[in-house]
Amino acid sequence: MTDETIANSPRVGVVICDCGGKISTVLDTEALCQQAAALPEVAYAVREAFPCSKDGQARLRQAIVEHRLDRVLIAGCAPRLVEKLFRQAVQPVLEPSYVNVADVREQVAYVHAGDAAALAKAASIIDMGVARLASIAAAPLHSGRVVKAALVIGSGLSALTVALSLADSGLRVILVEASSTLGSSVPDLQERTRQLLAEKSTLVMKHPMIDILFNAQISEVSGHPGEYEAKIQQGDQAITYVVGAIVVDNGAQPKSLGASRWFDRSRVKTQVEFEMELQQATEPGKMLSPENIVMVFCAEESQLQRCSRVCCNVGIRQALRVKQLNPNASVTILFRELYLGGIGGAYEAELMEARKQGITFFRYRRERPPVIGSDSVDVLDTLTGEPVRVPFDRVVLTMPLIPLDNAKTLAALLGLPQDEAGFLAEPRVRLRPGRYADPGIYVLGSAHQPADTAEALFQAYLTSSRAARFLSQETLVVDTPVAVIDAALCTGCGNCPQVCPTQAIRLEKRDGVLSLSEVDGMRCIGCGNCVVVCPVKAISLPGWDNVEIPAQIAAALQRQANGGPKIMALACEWSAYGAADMAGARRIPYPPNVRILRMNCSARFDPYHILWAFLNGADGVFLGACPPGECHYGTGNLYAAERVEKLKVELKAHGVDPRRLRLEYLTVDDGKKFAETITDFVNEIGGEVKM
Amino acid sequence: MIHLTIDNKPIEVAEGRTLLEACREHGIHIPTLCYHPALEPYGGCRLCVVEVSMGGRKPRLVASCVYPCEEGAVVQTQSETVVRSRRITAELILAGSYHTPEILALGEELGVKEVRFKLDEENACVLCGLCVRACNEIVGVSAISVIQRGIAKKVATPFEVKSSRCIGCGTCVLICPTVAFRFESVAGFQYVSPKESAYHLGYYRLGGELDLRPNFVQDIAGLLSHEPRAAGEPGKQVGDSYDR
Repeated sequence: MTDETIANSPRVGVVICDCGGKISTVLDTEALCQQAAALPEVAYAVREAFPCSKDGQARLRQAIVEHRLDRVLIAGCAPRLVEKLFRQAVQPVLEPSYVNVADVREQVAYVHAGDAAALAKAASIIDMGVARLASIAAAPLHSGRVVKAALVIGSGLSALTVALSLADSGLRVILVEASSTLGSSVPDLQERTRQLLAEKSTLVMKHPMIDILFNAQISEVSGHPGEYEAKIQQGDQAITYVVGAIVVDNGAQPKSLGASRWFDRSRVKTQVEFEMELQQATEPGKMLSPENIVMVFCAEESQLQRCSRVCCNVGIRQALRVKQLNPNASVTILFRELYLGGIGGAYEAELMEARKQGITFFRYRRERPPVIGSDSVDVLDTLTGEPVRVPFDRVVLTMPLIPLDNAKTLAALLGLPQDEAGFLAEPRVRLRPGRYADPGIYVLGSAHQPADTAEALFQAYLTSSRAARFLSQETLVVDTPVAVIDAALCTGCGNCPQVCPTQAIRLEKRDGVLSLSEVDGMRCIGCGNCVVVCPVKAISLPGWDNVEIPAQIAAALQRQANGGPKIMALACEWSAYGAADMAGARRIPYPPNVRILRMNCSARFDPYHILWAFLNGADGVFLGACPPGECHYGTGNLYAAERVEKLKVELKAHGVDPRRLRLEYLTVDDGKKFAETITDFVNEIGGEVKM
Repeated sequence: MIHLTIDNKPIEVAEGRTLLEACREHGIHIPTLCYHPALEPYGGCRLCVVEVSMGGRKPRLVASCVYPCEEGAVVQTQSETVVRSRRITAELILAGSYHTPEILALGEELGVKEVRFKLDEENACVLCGLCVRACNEIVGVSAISVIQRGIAKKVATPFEVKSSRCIGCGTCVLICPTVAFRFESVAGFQYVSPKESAYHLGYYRLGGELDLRPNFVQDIAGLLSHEPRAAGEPGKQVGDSYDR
């Protein structure tokens, strides 16, 4: 853009698509074209049969040059399908983000009859598009460097595997272990796992690219994907490393039995305690004293909710070792479900062997867990339906695996959510399994959920390749607009850091009284939540700012609606806007009174904008957000719901019927529900609601 | 520029255009199912066939969406061969989805009187591949693809498990011409209320226990009430006449 065009007001070009008759048979596109041309910002308006055709694109490029256009609006079909096409088409002559597509096909021609109301809606859509283009400014893309190093927390099998494979590909690896040995918290006690662990430990210990910090804890993490600053506490000493990615495998631990249990602890042991007993018995001159051993699998209620993956295997293996040490011992296993895992039924053989050796198995039901008495266990066998009493002199309880004590600290440091059991969870299971809140933070192995050896290794290889691919990039580019803070206005109130879903905003000290919010452009995902909560409006989000949204609302409502109430709809583009397109694609009609404004996220539904819509003559404001749990920006929809509730209270207090404001949860393919709720809303506003 | 004749009309088009693009540009209607202007042509549905003859050779049927315009080509878009070919194609598509309104409308347009062949198992998906190509070319994530062969061929996510690549944009559902696409099968949507699931409650708390009152109470007072209100107490007592 030259200085001359900056000085002048924007010259918007409008292309009205006939879509080969699909639009022009319903709408008078010629009239729309004339109306658009009459707008003060519009320098050029034209009708096209197929602007998306290669010839149409060529003519568009030509028009941009000829008429010195610096913004282009195409009024055609769903932007989701063709906006990219047009942006690529104009790239040689115009900044791509200055091309917008307004939807008059799916949102008007396909759903409304070709009457004056439909034409007014189409004209409003074009007005909105022009108003948006006239007020937006192109935002520079944020980019940041990627540090070629990774921090690995923990030293389980998967952590070691990842460390080795990253180090082998030439990346520096810092391995932080809380204890003084590698692999100390591996829950699977299988022989092969131990061997693997030993092999990998040796390799890791002597690898030149791996630094190992024993007895160390991570105490602080700052920075953004590609460039994290991690402070590590080792004894009294604090070391700071700059790394590009962080891999977490801090493992899990078996729950302890607890001191408050009434059990005779000399006779009732956990699986881990029994393992120690077995190891002692293998030493020369020792022998296994108990004769009657009862193993209770899934011993804790909480384990019934989630399988711990490794304990059945370990239990059967222990039973076999008991038989080896003392063939006369009697071993009874009480189980609910046997999970043997392994690839290709690798552990089935052990089960068969156990049965051959005369180990007894009783299956119990969740509703009737075994009752441990003073010298016998009572269980209801599901096979015969008969109660069975098994005498014991040793009970072995399999305790569930629970997250390590430091899981909570890590979750807070790295901004990871935890699931109900406290394991580090994936925030967007649906959207990106295997990826966490940040690109560049990976959780694997039992830190994520109990995993057996095969699973842990599989995750490790997956993570290795993902992390290596991530770290091999030279720069990271954020392709969405990011929030910008005006330092002159910011009062340092501290509202915005609290609502940021990605912890992209920090309060910085500055000279004088007030501190200042700073946005990390690499972390910001552009949801706009901070823009809404800023009390002094010091934050702007290019493309979804306090200039263009009110301008669009005003433009949407300025034309006279042909009878019926005027409805302003703010629609999240991941849900309600898509649903409106879908209603069009499926030809589900709804009243044409509604003006749909495409928003990035429901977090950006600003109470001010809603009031602005009312002030501009909207009879009702409809808000469309993703259902809870499905927000593409985390929890924007829940913030929106909370704001709407509060705003309704205020509206009511000032004599405005709160029914004039409605929030609906829609998914992107909910065309039918969109049409139904809009119809219902229009009927309600037009009918019983007093203005 | 390339010169050719379409339906006995001399036509001039820029180099590198397909026959379908040339026809669209000159207002000649050709039915399509698997074509979308934002995607690379696919040549899958064979509804866009036209008859092309070059240099006195025998005319032959080609799919116009993938066939380039050639100098001196003579094209017929409504000849009897073309119409017959389209009709049988439409009938064969109808054989697998004889209750789908969009396909029925297409059949009607192309003159299918009755559907002679009916598969036992009906499937609205006609394998036009629009969703797969849109996911790849427009969205750029390739969460879905066409899997298996022959009669078992279908659109699905890899291994038919919920896709890890899907970003939940819904472009596949929007572009589907026959309402065949099940969004849940790709993205695995489930409706959860924040009250029902501890997991989502934890998730909700990610943003911190916050107070969302950016002091707009006074502003609303200024904006909406004509008479200035006494400072302090928010105007709870003002009006609840619409309460029933």
